[in-house]
Amino acid sequence: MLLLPLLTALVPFHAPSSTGLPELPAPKASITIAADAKLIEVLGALADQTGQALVVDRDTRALLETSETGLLRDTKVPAELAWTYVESLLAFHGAICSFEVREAPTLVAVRSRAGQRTPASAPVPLFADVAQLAWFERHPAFLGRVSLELPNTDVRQLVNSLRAVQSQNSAYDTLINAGQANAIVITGSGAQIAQTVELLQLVDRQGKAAAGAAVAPQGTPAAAEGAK
Amino acid sequence: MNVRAAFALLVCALAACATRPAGAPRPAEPAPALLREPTRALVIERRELALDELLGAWTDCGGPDVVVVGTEARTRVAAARVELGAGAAIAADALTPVVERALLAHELVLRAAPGRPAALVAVELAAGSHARGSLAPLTLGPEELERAARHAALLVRLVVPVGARDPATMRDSYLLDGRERAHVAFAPGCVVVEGPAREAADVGRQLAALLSGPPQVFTRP
Repeated sequence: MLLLPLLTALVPFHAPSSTGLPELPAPKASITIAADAKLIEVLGALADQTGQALVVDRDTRALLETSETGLLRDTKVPAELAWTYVESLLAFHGAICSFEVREAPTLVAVRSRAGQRTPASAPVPLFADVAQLAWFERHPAFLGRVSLELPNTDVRQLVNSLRAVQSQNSAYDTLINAGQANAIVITGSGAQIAQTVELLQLVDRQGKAAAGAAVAPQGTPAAAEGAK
Repeated sequence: MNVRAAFALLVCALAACATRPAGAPRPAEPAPALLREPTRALVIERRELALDELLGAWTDCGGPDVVVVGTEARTRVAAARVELGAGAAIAADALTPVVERALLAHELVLRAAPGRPAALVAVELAAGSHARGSLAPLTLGPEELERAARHAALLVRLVVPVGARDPATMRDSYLLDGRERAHVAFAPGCVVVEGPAREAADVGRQLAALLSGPPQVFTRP
């Protein structure tokens, strides 16, 4: 009887992994990125090492072939960080990734954010649940969409207010209030989604604290809690 | 595992449970640093360094990998000079502040890649950094205000709690201030300040002070 609680106390807690979203294959060893490498070479090397199929349209190929990574030093990236690192480089240079085919064998598209796109050629965001945020943290350049419920916040007012700090790239990064559900639908790169969810949850907690402080008379435990 | 060892393990586990009631939160661990910190001091051989040399040395001393993004930023980083005392050394823990001050002096900012501490940062122009949608700035809560204030050039979004006064009343007056680098959004109970971390922390503190205390009602005499 005691063994089960004992074992659960001893085993470190792990958040459930982001199930349901396709995992990209990790390279078998660390990858080395030369400081003067072009982005297309880095991407090609990652595809070679992982076996992941990648597709790049003509405009994006021009960007990737002419853009150097911008790194100041040659860099060795551990295998487990390879996708996050390379995607960060792509994102810094204005590229975005999406799944063209989600079922194995998956096909990943890399596109420049700058290009004009018809609806048919635009990337489709990956729909996900907030519980799958860890996946977006590992894939900062992947276009995704999540909805987040904020029980303590007037989402219409908040979305208007956040325009002051929201990225202006409306083609890919958007916050839409789903008023009656009191939720916000976030679309953007993985990094954008991860950071925005954290921001909105922090704001929601502060809103709850402020509401608690406003309702409770001063000196009560609730007021003290709200002031924290 | 023999019986005695298993019993000892059980006693240890029960003792651990006794000190932390069921359901109680685990003690908060200090959040990791925002950026990978240098582990070695930088020995300065020349009085003057190009900014890209300083950034490369930052990485060599254990700091984050650096990417310079954009033609204008690359030109500026190559052309800018940083004066340092030749023959001296910059201690490992002082190196990041030196680098960030040098960047901001040339109107450049840092944008961190995901991960704490970030192993990769981008150097980009401060002007227009707000509109670039590449990677969102790091989001930091009120408990990391002091940590943010130690970074001059790192882009962040800070959430700072304010008092019961309606932050929206500050909106118009604050926008008239003419600041270019820090952007402020007002939400119930807090403000969100985006910009280089130290400046964002200053703006957040200033607004928190202005909005602290109970709501005030003004009547005309």
